[in-house]
Amino acid sequence: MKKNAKQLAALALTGVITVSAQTSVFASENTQFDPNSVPELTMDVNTFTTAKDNGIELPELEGGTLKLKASIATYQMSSEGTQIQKLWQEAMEHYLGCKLEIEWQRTNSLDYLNNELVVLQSGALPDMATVSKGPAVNEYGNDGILLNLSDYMDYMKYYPEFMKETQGGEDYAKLEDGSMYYFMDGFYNPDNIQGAQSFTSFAYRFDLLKELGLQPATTLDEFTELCKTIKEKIDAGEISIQYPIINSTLDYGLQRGFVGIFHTWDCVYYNDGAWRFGPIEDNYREMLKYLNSLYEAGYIDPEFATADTNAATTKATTGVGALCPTLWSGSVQGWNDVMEEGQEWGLAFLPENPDYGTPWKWGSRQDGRSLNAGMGIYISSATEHPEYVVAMIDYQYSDEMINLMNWGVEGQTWSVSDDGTKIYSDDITSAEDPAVQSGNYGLTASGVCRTGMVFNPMDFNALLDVSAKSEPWWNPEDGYYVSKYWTETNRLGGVESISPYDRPPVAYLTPEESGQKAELAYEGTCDKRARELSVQFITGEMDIEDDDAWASYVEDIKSQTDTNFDDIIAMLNEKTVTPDNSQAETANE
Amino acid sequence: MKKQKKWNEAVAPASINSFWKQLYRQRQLVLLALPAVILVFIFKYIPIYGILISFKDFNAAKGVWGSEWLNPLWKNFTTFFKNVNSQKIIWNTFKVGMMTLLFTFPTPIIFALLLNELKGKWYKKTVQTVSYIPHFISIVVICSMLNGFGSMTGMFNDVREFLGMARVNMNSGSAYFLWEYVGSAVWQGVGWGSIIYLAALSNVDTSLYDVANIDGANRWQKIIHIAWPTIKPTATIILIMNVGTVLNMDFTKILLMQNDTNRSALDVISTFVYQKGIVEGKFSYSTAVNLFLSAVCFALVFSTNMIVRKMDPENSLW
Repeated sequence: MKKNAKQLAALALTGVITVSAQTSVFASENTQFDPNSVPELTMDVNTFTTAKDNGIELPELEGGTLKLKASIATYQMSSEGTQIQKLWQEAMEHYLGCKLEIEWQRTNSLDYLNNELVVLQSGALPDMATVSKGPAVNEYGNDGILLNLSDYMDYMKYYPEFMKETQGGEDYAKLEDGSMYYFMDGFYNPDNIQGAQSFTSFAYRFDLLKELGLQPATTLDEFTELCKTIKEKIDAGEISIQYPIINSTLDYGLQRGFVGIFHTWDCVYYNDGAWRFGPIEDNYREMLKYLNSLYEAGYIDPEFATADTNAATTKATTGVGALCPTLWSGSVQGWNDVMEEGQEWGLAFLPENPDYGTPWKWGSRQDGRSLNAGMGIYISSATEHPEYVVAMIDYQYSDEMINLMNWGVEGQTWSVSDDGTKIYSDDITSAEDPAVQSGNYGLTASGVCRTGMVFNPMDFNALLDVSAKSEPWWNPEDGYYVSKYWTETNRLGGVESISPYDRPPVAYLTPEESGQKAELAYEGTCDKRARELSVQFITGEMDIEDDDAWASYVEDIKSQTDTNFDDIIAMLNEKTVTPDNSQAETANE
Repeated sequence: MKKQKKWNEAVAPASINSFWKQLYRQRQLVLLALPAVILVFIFKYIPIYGILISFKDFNAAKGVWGSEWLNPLWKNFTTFFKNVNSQKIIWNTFKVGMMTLLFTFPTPIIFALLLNELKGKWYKKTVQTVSYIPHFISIVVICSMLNGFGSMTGMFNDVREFLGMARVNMNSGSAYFLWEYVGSAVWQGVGWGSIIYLAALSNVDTSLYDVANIDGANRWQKIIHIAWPTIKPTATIILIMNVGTVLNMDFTKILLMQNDTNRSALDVISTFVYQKGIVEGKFSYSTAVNLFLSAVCFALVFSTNMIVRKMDPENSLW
């Protein structure tokens, strides 16, 4: 008995040590987020509008209290207890003219993403919930478990404005029969900055280039020449890095960095009036030939397809490579923070392939007000007071709420500068990390904290000011300077660099058809298989010059779908509403 | 026939009575087991009806019962078997599952027997406690460690170089996957898995060892004739239970170990179900594939138990 007790004690101790080790990690990570560290914000909600002011007549509410259950995704920091969350509630109660009692269920965004369809399948839904798999919820709307928002347009004032201004207009926001089952995520881009989020620039070791008297490439030929020079320097022992090119992540292949240069894409996308599967296009093959030539010449790190983000970061920060074609905005700054003194990564816009012209960028924003079908909010059809819930979500799309959620309160978290632009208070801008400090207030623009009913519209200017990090940049006219990813990819690429992938037309699909499209989309069966086989072409395991090998590759990818691959492409073209689908016939033939 | 009926009438009421009496006599044990029984019933038995959606065009609003039946009923199964990758996926599942069982089942037994032979109490306890620690490391961390160790500059390659072998990218392709997968599973589970055997070994009558010492038995003979027979029933039950889950391998680990050089070579039924169910949202289809897996697992448990019953009837589950 005594022996067993000791065994149990030892076991418990092991558990305690492990748990406390993990807790201390989390605690140290969380200490930077503290909603109690910021001063209390006050605001006179009486200056805000009400539903009644907008001519919206809400039905009588028994007891004057609206009780709801809401399920939302949280990001690095929960909005619970933040100042902006408190003001959101006050403003919302003022708008609706009732007291709000919302039971929030907050779930980590990754867990949320994995489980949201399972929750929908269960049919046991809260009154309103975040959706991060947008069009997938339409199936449940058709089944009758989600509220058809088009039946409640009388309770909306602001969302229809976003619908009108979005490319595709109402066709984009509604289904073929006019129904709509979720509020799409809004985005407010007042200064029309159509920059990209990632994979629109190559990263270079600026210190190394300066030392060698080189500069970033503006064309693909220059890029090849640059790789060649760096390789020669490595072989001659003049520089201590191991390979000219490294990759930065397993989530996207090395190909993602080059598809825009060759005017193709790495999954299904819409271009020249038709849906196409990028990896089987001739342009894509040209790209693979180019990458194969770089690999054969020894320019690419052999671990480009196997190093995970941790390993890749180690490679980048310990001097393994000098060029990285696949990078998220902000990553360069993250790398530079841990680099040895004197070493510096920087960015330059994608090099151009003269055969194709201006390279395409990924994730560029539309101008003005726009909607993003990928994310949003749905309302359960079983909710007791749908009129109130619709009016509530709609109000989040108003200018005053967008302003509150993203900028906070004038005179307290922001003010107007001499040139008439909004600027955040010193408290935020002079903080060690402005994103964290604005997150402590609960500001949505922080990128670390999403307040209110997630997702609600982000203000791009606020986002740029507070959460986009400045990074070293280069271009042939200005030389070396410091700027932000979104701004530079807008300025350097121009409108012609917007990828067709970012501006697809509306296609009305049934749930089954959406499932078929998912097989060809990013992370779908065909995308994964294409990435795997592409790597074999890059490394020379399969001969990219061999037409039979290419035909076999195409056939292999097409065989991955549960229904006929070509029929899926034909179906997408047939179901596309805008623009005119008569051009679709030539695609993927 | 008449005799049998009379016997039933005479005996059955008495046995029912004795059953309830016995239950009453053991009410404390029954109460102790009740929460577990309820838990298993609610979370393991009630959800079983959900497998019906394998045969239905599931519609959340209509529910499991209300959804339309597929025509033909086995449509999802034929779709899976027609899938160009299904044979490879099934083979991968068996290969990974069997290799894992082959190494993760005996190692805790061997470890427990070795620990049992250690004399130094402090040393024994330290080894035992240290061996539990890997069990508490999250699978994400394990996979990140494996990715680092298997890289060209990683620890595994340092060892290879020390042994005079060339450095290779062990994360590329599937050549080293099984060793990394199984090896890390053994590392994580050997200490934790040995607990149950150590508990069984603690019940050995020490006088048996005294007698063995008098008879001049060596350590090996004591292990074979005293320790092993003590833990054999436990080991048999664990084996049958492990066979039941042999094909339900840790798909998270496989997902995290997959990359663009080995994805299809590493695909198993669980990752396929994840891809179709969670990523592509085809719940009926993925349920059907998982039902196929469960049916195979059930057959494996049944066969293993049958073999055990023939070889050693006392240790079979039923």
